[in-house]
Amino acid sequence: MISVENLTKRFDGLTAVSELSFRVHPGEILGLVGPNGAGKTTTLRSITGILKPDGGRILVGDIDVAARPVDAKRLLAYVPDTPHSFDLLTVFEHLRFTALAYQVENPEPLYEYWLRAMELEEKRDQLATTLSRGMQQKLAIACAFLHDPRAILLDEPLTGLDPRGIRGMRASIRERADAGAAVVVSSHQLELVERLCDRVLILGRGRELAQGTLGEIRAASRTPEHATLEEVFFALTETEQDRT
Amino acid sequence: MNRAVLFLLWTQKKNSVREFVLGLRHPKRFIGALFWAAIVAGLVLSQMLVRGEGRFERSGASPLTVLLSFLLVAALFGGLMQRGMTFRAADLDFLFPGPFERRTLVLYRLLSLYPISLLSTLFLMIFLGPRLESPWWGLAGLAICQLIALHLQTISSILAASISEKTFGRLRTRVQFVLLIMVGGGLFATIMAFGGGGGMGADVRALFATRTFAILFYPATAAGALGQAAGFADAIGPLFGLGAAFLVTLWIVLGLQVNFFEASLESSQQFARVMSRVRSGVPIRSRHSGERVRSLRLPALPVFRGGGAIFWKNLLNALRSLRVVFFGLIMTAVLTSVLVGVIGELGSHKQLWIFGAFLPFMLQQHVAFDFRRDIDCLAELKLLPVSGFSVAAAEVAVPALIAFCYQTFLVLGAGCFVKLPALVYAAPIVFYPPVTLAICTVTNIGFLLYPVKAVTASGRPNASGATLSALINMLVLVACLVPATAVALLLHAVLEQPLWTTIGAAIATQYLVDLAMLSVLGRLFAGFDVAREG
Repeated sequence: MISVENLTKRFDGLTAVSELSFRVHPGEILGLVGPNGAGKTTTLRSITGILKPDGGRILVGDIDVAARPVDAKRLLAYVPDTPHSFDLLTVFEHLRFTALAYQVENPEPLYEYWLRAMELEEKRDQLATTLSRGMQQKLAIACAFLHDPRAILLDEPLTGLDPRGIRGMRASIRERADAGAAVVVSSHQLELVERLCDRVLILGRGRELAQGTLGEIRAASRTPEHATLEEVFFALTETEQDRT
Repeated sequence: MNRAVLFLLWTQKKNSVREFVLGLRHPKRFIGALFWAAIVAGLVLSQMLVRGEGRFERSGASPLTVLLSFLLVAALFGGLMQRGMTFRAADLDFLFPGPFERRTLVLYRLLSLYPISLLSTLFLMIFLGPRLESPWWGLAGLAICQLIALHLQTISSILAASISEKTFGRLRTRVQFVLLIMVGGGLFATIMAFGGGGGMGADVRALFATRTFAILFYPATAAGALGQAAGFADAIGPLFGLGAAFLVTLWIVLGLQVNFFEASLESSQQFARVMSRVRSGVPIRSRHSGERVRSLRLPALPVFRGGGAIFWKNLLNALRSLRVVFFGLIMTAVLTSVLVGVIGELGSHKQLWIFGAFLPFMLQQHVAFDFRRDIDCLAELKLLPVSGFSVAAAEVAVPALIAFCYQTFLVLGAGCFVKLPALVYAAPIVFYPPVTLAICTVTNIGFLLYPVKAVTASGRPNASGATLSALINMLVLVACLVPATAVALLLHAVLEQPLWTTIGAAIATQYLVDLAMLSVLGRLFAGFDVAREG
């Protein structure tokens, strides 16, 4: 569903992402991890078509993002690390806008479903900017999931959520994947990535350090058989730092 | 036009009106709105009274043409400096990854900005209307010309997005320099053209009436002609031309095949940071994040110990924000040119005295290297082993110093063009400092008492709160000047003391008031709850 081939992105001469390749199949959740400045957000923004890659090709459901961005975006949902809401739209109006934008047919039951799922029912007529950060995060995710996207990109999706919200969000992400969506979750919460994701891609300075299931990246990093993702992560990123 | 985008535009406008009306239930907002309504009503009334007087000269180009030409050029360069259209944060999150054609996003942004352009047109018409032969045609011309300027700005900003970041970085300073010269020159030309009569004003109007200028700035020329139209027959030609120019520029802006997303992301984030700081009453940071500067050592002088270190820090801030300070100097230059004209016309330099004294109040954004810039690090300042009074004194020192430079520039600048008495030249050193200190202290007191929130609880910019805050500052400042004025009146008019005794006593009184106000500022700082939202 999502195919990134040799993605390279430079900013002002600085290479943010270099020759990165990965695939995410329908029903799969890929965890994107790496230290600050590793190129996670740049990768996600390139997939959405907001950033124009300097090299490589990105396909979303066989559609080339560079050639047919609007068609690719119809299949996509992207939630940035700090989502911003329209200050003059209520919670419900955000959902209505999203349904119109993605031409969702018969959206009424979906509004109710996502308002309930994200615990936003009582806030439906409130202006979105009066919500707490966690609630704004939930609203952004409700809007992202409303049109049943086939590819979902989540940048730090659990920031600002309370423990109950985190549990609910994990369940929702898994539910979308089980419904056939390809999901990419970028996060610093390694425990979450370990529990939620089917495969992990570890980035360092814009390059792939390891990719695969936890077992595969354990083997690649030569860490013990029962090493956690955190241990694998530090083994790989510290080796990378030593090398540079 | 995309249905979702139409829904977004309509709902936002509808909700903004509803929020405004509901917001009037709050006294602070109500007073702010009332204040603005009173100002607008006052302006309209005053302009209605002068209707018929001071009509624009019919020889040469209309001053309206000169003003609009300047606006068109400023729009072109402004767009170029912007590099990519600016969108709001929510637009970036919802619209950029959404299934929208690029031209839909451009049209959405233009439609969001049209009302602002039209509102500024109405505001301009308050001043220009009474001076035009035909205010209604003039209004139409001005409105369409403003929209064309918006299109031009958008075109240049989108085209600038196609320039690489590196090249743009190299060009930025040069373009800014050209822009500054053009702003200065354009303002000067406009002021001269509005001055009426002969001399340089007539030359400027004649220049803009030449064929080359008329073609180059066609929308401005047509709008100027509309303002002077005697009837429908005179108006139809320019109106048709303006309509065509509007459509052509719109067609160009919607047809541009440039991927502006990436550049817009950067410029929008930069714009959002600037707006957030402006709305908070915090001065704009002039440097970009990540920009490297050379670290300097704290000089080993006793004056830079304790509170002096804060003074040094603020001084460094000012030196590293020379662009902001320099822009203040340009504003001073423009104001000086206006004052020179007024002094020349009235033959009195009283205006210069008053204007110079209150100049720091007008240029607050350019001198505010004080608590307003330190709002994010007040907690750290409170941890310093320095008394509240020392911190307060150190914080207002740099604004006072910059204000001194502006005031000196004003007086010396005016002195180059008109003959001034020797006493005026002493003003920046002798008379202005106590008033400047009062202005800087009162503004900071106002800020600590009422740190204007970036947005209200409903998420709307707190414009009425900022207005109210400025109004209160003004009232407190007047109150601070009362004792010195009273002393001066008592000594001079009642006790008939010599002029120098009177002046000396008034200045000493003002310094005493300043000390008391600084003490209040120090106490406010010491008691400031850093958990409050800045």
